[in-house]
Amino acid sequence: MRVKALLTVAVTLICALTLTIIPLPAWAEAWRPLWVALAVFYWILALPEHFGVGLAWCIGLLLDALTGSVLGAHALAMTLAAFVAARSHLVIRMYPVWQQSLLVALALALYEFALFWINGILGVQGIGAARWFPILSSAVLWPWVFVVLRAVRRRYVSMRV
Amino acid sequence: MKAGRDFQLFRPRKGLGTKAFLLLVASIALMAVDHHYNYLTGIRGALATIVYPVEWVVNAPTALSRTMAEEFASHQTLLHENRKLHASLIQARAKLLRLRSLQRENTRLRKLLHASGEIPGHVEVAGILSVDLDPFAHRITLNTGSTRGAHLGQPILDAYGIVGQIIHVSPITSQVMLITDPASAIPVEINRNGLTTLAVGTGDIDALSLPYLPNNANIKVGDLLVTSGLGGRYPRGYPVARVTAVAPQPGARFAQVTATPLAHLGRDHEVLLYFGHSKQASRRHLRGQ
Repeated sequence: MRVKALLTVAVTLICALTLTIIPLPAWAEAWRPLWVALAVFYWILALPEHFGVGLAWCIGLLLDALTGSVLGAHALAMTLAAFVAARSHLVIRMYPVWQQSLLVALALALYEFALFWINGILGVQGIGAARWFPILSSAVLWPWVFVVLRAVRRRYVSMRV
Repeated sequence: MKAGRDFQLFRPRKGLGTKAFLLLVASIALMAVDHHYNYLTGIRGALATIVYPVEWVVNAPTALSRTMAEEFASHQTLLHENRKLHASLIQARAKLLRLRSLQRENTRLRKLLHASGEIPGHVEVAGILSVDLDPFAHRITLNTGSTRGAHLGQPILDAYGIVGQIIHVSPITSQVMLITDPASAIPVEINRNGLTTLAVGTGDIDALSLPYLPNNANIKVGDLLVTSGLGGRYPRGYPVARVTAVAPQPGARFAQVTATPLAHLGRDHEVLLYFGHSKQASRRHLRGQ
């Protein structure tokens, strides 16, 4: 049962990684939601005893290798966002989904800001308002991600993992 | 009563802060090392190999549709294409004949001038994986890695000009920074008069900026920019861009000059890896074969 649960989480994360690099039309590119961060966020909220900042850091590192950013950039940003989620998972779970969206947006703002800041230090100029589009699209999509992943969890991951 | 005092509804987990802090420190250390040294190439290569299946899956539909188009192309279309390719091959060969004699003459003249002879390089074809990376960076992923000789800093061309250089390499894939990436700068010279400068990426796929030319520089719209070979990364004399706008700024130190890359950035399916630029690289390549 435990293997099945781990496999399920791995598959959802791989799907999220896939969605991160799938080609989109040029106008939609800037609006691409932060799929991986959303998935990590969900699993930390749903199974906080098993997943936390460690998972977030590992996935962040994979994301660094995938997108070719400096090693550790996404890992750091993801750890920050995951820390918020893990720290207050009991509070966040109390809210209705649409209010969770706001908190997700807040955590992702932290995520994007960390990346923005790292790029600034490395000398890559920030690109204005487009930096913040993914936060909006991610927050809007959070309820759907939540519902889909909850269905996946109920179907494949038993309550006592 | 004692138990009641210990009970806390929203109790944060023990050790979470410490763990997060350690991971943050680890990421910062990683970034510092990765940015300044090349120690982590192996780790990056391993991670890139782990995520390669994801890239493969994302690329599969495009690859499949291209294969299908080839499989189901009609006899007529193939014949037509073949004829067209044959014609262009003959033209290219004719040009090459002239080029060879010019090259010989050039080598002789260089010898007379006691300048070092040019080392001719050779190229190999690599496919581009259709995956989208960071929208703010202009990067492409190639299906060729270090096992086929790709190496860090290797110049990438297409049939029309310079595309960029390899910035990360794993055993099976490599990532290329295009010349239009905001972090890219390429040493160029104006083909007409040999004036050297830098062409810097703008983040716009159709534009390079030449920010270090004085207002009275001898440059015109339509000038061809070729690589100058300075800096030792790109080979000399390959076309890069054509100047599209020259706007002197009377109040500022430098003029505003923009150029359009000649390479078909963002439209290519295949690019060329340039070998033979450095002896070490070609040795490594031979060993790879």
